[in-house]
Amino acid sequence: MNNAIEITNLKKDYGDFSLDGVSFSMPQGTIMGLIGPNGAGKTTIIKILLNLVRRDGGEIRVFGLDNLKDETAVKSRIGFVHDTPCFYERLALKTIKATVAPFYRDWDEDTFRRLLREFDLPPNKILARLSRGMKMKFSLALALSHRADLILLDEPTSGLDPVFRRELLGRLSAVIQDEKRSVLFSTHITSDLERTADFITFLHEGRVVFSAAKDEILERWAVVKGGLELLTEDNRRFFRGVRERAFGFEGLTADAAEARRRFGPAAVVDKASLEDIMYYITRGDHHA
Amino acid sequence: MLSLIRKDLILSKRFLLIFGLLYLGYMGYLGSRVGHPREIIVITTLMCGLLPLIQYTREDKFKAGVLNCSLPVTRREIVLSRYILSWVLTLVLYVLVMGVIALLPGRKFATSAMFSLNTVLFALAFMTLYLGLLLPLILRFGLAGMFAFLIVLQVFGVATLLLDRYKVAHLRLSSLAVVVKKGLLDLHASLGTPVYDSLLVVLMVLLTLASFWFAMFLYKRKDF
Repeated sequence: MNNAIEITNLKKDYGDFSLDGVSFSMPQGTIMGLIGPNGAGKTTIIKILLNLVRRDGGEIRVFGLDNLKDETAVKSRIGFVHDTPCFYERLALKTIKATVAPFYRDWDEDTFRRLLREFDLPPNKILARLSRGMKMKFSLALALSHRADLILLDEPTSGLDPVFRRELLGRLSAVIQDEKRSVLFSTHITSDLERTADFITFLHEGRVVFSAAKDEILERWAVVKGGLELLTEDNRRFFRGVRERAFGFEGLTADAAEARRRFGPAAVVDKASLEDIMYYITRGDHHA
Repeated sequence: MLSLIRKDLILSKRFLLIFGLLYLGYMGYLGSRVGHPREIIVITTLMCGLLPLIQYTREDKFKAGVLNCSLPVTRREIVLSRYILSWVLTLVLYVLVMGVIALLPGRKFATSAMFSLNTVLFALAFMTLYLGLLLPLILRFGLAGMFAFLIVLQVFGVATLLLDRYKVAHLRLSSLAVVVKKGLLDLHASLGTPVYDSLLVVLMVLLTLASFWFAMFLYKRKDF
């Protein structure tokens, strides 16, 4: 399978925060969720990919092209939806479209009009008068109307109500039906990804904790619940994160099968949700 | 490139129209109050150059730089388009203002003085310095860049006047100006007008190119 994105050893140092040798790849025709707590480096990676932020090292290839050497070719295949729409607020939607459309050879006016209708966006409406959700939809309509092969979404659902969020996610799933388009979706709302993503890359403090198929992750990772007597030093080391309570403990492991063997009926081994994984790795006692 | 220029024009058309008309009216009025063509040239150039520069500071206000740089264009193309548009807008506005001043009654100098080769070259040289110094700072630092430049210029001006007034470091502005003027006149006399003017144009082109390269150097290092 060809890769839509290949990131190798990406580095960026901000002083108080740094991306430290980030590497992952995203197969073409898939949705990848880029998850991690706030400040993990999700937005920085997307910005470096678009050359909005300079990198200190590493390489990024998009559809096999270098994102800096072939900047124009790469960007013409990308549709970008920023977490806060960055258009001139006092302009009508049709005017903003008129400024963006000429940059794309494959701009499809019919698709744009259809999407505006589907999203209930009047072309004459001033951007500033739209709600955040409507602005997001407009950004998405622009990104989809030039037949982008890769859609980059930076926290598109944060601040949206559940109805909008579900609608947006449904739209994203529909986008990759042709198996050519790919979507990289950064979020800290992990429930969004459990519905839509094929692959998950988890970032924490500027490093990749894991990057794998979602089903594999949900199969492999588990939360073990048991009494405190089970929490020996050896067992503690087995967990990636542990939370102790008055009458028991909860621990996260990346090896569900081993957990079942190790604890047997003495403990409950539940599948871990993405939120569990994020919580325990970022907040729990860490034992690599 | 044309798409970038077109985009900037569409985004700022209302701003350019409103302020362009205000400038025309104001400068037309000012033309009847000022006694020397060189003074009106300096003020007009300053005002005309300010309009495209303020237009770019609006990008900061709306945080629209992210949109620009995520479009399929390089940063070099963005900087180049802005240099071209700034020059075109400044020149068009300058010609319009000069036309209005020439047409309105009450002017205290001859029309020919406004359109002589010397005056035109003086205006172009002033534009070159003004745009060449300010554009790199505005593209990189936005409105803050413009203010910083103007404040530094003010401080420098005040400091120079104080040094002159209190004769610190034996600096005499008037004698310095005389020396520079005499040097230019001698050069003009020895080269002849055509060569001297051509040299001036070449110098302006080189300054603009240097400013463009500096702007690109700064803009490529801008993180959004």
